[in-house]
Amino acid sequence: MSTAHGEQVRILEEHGQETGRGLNWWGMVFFIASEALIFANLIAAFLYLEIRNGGVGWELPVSWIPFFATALLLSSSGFVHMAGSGIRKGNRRNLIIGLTGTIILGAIFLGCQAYEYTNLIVNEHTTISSSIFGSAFFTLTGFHGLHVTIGAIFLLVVLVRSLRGHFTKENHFAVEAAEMYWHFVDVVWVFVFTLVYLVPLFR
Amino acid sequence: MATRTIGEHTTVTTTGVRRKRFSESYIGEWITTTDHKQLGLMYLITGFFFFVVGGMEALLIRTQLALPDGKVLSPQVYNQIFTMHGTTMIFLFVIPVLSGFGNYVVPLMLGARDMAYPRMNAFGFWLLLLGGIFMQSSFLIGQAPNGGWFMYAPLSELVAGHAFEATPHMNADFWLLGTTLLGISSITGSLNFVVTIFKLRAPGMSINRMPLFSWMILVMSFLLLFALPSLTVASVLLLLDRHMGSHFYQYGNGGDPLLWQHLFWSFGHPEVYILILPAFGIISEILPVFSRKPIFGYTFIAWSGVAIGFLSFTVWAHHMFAVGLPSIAQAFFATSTTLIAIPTAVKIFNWLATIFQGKIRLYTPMLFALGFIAMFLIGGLNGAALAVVPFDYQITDSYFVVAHIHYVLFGGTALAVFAGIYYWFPKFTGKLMDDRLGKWHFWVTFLGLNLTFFPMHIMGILGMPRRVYTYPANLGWNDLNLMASIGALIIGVGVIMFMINFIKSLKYGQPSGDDPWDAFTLEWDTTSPPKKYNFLEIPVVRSRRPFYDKKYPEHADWKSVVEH
Amino acid sequence: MSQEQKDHVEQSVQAEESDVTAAPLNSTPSPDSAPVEKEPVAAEGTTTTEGATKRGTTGKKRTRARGRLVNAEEVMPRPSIWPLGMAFSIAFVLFGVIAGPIFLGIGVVLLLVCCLGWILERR
Repeated sequence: MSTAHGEQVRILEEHGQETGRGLNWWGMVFFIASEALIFANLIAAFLYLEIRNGGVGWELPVSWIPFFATALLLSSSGFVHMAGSGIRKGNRRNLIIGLTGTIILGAIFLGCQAYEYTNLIVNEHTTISSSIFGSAFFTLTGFHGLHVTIGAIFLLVVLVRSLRGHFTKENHFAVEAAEMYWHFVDVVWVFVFTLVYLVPLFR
Repeated sequence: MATRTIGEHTTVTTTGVRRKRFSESYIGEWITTTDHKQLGLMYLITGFFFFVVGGMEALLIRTQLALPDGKVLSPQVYNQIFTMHGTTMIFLFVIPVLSGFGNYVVPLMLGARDMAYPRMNAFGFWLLLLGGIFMQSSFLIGQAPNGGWFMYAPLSELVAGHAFEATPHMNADFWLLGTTLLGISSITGSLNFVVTIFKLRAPGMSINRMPLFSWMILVMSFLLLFALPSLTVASVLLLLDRHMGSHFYQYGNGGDPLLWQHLFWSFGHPEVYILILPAFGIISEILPVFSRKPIFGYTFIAWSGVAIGFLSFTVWAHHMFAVGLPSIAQAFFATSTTLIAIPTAVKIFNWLATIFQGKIRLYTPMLFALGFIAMFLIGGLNGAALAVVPFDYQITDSYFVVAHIHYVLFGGTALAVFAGIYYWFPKFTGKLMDDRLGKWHFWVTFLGLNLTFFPMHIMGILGMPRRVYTYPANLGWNDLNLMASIGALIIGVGVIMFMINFIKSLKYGQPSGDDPWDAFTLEWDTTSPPKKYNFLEIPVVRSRRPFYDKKYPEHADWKSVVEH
Repeated sequence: MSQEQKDHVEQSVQAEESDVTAAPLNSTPSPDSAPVEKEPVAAEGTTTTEGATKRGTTGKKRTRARGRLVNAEEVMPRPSIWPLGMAFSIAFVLFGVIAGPIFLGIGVVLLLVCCLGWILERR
């Protein structure tokens, strides 16, 4: 099946480049769509169990930490946008500042989550096995935390590459992909946060 | 970074002496390949291997059930065997074989040189193979999954202890991890298909000039992308229950076993259409070629596939009528299930109209395609019967359901897969399969499958529950079961005939030339087997039958047919 | 990238009645890999450069049409061992989830190695 050396083929206008969006962009879009469905299912399961239990025991002790963390995560979206639009204009300084800012905010968010978890487990004795609420809460937010971690690692790789000058105005798909992923993680958090922290306040 | 490892890759062809790279040795070529054709063949071979494995499991089941009070297998082993039969056939045979066809044929049909992401493609294949081996290896330690192929909680929750280490009962873990691996594999595969189909079509091949097989692969890929997350979530929750002590599926602690059923079937029902839609595609390719007519109602076939795709997400709870859903939900799911019959019937009528007044050439692929229509019709009709709630109460989880699923998946998908193999074998190898032996294979399979699965309808109506280990002699099920077991053996003979035909044709088959069937679509517009780069020059498409246009320029479609 | 320099000689080719609308472009799109110099091979491979300007009747907007003959090897994806490695390590990680932290650790290390290999590999 191997090609004999020197055989020649005629190449046409490159596939996938005609309309501006490259192959990888589309791949990322569908990948994120599939990921979004994972969260949709988790949220559905969370709601299903909440309704089945009539909301009994379905809340956390009120604390300002999650609100602070949310503000951080949402503002990190601005930074990652700054990085992305920076490199689209060829501005590497903005790229590096934006990425660094995003990663720092993301790390603080994860720190807040870790603090919240420790507090719950040690002081409130709410664990994944203590009650059905614990199971649902830790799974949903834990899954989101996992995605934030993956996104942060992704951004870190992109940051290292951009420090080495790998990205140009034309050639920066990794930045774009990381940006898309981070925005996705943020949007998911809006839903998760509303469901887990805001709704119980208004009940 | 990316420029670091170029060294050995820049093969300078002009310098003459050069050490052979690993990827050029025989084994190295297979394990490092990123070529869609080679991967397609590997998918097909793997799928067929697991088909044989799953078939042997089926034969064991039928041996156990052939006579009343059978004691061929122990009850524990029997549970493992029927679970693995279903799992193997669905996850390790049908999906791989269909993606194998898709991998091999879709880029050729679209006039592309490869899939969009060749390395991801290889990655998906290896995950599939490892996942399959992983699942089947559970037999080696005697702990194959034993909860049925849909692994209902809370039965599947049974573990010896909630600890973060290997528990004595790993049966369900094998299933959960195995399907997760296969799920990742399917996701990468379908991402690849979707992007390939959207972005890599040859110039002029608009989306409504695409061959119907590509259409159906596209719909299948979307279904996989959007349905598999449900399975992933269900599996993760079950794994957490089993190993981290959460309570998602435990009724006593506020959880709900029905949650598993909802999550599983909201994957499981789209999955059923994932298994059948590409088969529709294969049939829609074969019928026109062997009837010497363009497909009738292209747009309807394509969009009814899309409609089935959408509807398939709204019907999952028809698997759960007997669990006590509110009647409004039952009404909804019964209606949506019945609705699916409409696009399916649209397809069947279009196929019939395609062969109507055609110059039919009854070669083996055509024979299998016609057999598919007949068998799928039976499977579709008794499926629609299952949508009737009161009837479903009576026969749910009986052998009637087994009959239904096998008419659809064996009489439907498996026959279409055989049709596809006979049809594309010349493309894969440049040789023809023996037509006479092929016809024998068809008739033996056809007889065997009806003998096996038709009596199951009656068994179900007589009250034989599915997955039952054995039965006493006085229930009136004896003859029917014996018949089904004999039928299963006959199917086995058919499969052996197919294997003989395959190997014989591979060695001594008649050379087929590039275009043995006088076909219409682009995959035949190149050498058989195709060169690594598929097309010397990317063809340009002006109608739905580009290769026909090229061969018969005076009757070319684009001169006469108006396509919308 | 580097094609522009060598595609200056344009000979119109009387091919058959196809309305090929092709423009010279480089091989598999890798928008992601940074300043990549095109392989030196291309220079030897693409000695014959042919082009033909034709009109596009295919609905899509195509202006200039040129075909270019290149070495088949150049446009085809290269073989790679990392897909197998990656699949193996993911399987190992999942197995580690139930088999215990030691397997999990080995799996994660393998996975990282394979990720790096995958990313760093030149396509």
